[in-house]
Amino acid sequence: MIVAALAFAVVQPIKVLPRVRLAPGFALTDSQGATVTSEDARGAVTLYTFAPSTCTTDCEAINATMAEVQRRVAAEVDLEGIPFQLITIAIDSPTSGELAAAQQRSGADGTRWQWLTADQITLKSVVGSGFGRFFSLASTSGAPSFDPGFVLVDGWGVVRGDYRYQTIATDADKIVSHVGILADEVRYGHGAASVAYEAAHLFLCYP
Amino acid sequence: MKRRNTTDETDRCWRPASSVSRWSAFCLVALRSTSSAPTCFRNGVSGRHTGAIHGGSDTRLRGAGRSEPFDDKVVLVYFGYTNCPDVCPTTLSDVAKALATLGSDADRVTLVMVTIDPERDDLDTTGQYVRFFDERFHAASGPIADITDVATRYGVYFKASEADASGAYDMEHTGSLLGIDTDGNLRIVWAPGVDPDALAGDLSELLS
Repeated sequence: MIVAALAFAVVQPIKVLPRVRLAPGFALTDSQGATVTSEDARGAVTLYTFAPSTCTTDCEAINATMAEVQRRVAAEVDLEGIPFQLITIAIDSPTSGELAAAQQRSGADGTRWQWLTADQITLKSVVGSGFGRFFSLASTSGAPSFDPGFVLVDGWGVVRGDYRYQTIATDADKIVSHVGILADEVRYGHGAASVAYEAAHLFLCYP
Repeated sequence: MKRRNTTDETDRCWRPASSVSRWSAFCLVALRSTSSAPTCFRNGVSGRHTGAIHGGSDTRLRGAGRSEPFDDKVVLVYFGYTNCPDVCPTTLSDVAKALATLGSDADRVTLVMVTIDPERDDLDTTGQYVRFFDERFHAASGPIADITDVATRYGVYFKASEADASGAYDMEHTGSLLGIDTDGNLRIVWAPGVDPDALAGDLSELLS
């Protein structure tokens, strides 16, 4: 056991992402007024981010990262048919029209990348408690304040990547790389190999 | 935009812990013993989510808070409702079957069903319902806001369907079963339909 663990740690034949925690359950509304739930995301790899619908200049980097991840995952990562989707949760509870406008400004297509929102009580529960992201609509500047970042969730509803401030300022490389690692787990983690992947979860440092 | 220089969760690196070898054995056995492998959480990642639920008796939820002791019991948490036509009774029945195979170890396991339909399910009704399946099962209920908050933290979604002409309605909900260890940490999530024998094997490992 010890030798196997050491061998795993040194050779690192398999890379895995940690199972950080459960992603929150939710029922949010899209720009058409339709309900989208966490159950709808089951079976898909989903990248979440959080921003006010009124955010423009400050959020360019967030939207650019989302767009780049969407483009590069489609081009570079084989998810074996597992859907990859992106969701921006608007933290300021905009109307459907305002949400649609924000979605359009961001470049989201409304299907594979969509904007969702809800009332403030629900958002505090889902975004604040569930995803662990601070936000406040009452700030001294008058604009909403929030912690930017991204959360990568697998098809089981488990958080596999939680990217905070510094990721915004860099680029999408890390997220795309991590989606690729998830894709490998989807592709190869069946049958007997699932035991090897579980061992990797137990014995390896994370990428 | 508020910026705090924090560390990505994904950057964590494993540090040896005393329970790692025991837990690794559990996860490996769990993977071998179930046709649909459950999700194992190595570090007990969700302990802070469990403060609202107690293993000792029927309980009113009081919002999520710090982790509470569970009287050294493994606690299975399920979100359901007493008018549930299919998945809830099936899951509770399967858990009861699993406990029946554990012998005296079953006394160290309990199940708490949190009702997602407090309008129709008060604590007494829910308690009677779950104890139809096993005397060791308990109920939890409370204000809908508290239930929603706790469910959200456990990754559980629920929503009432449109009522029919008679006013009857069903609840859509996540059907996962969650396993919390004796330290109050979430360690395993079973998808709906887990085999009772496999569940018993997982519980046995979780107790060892």
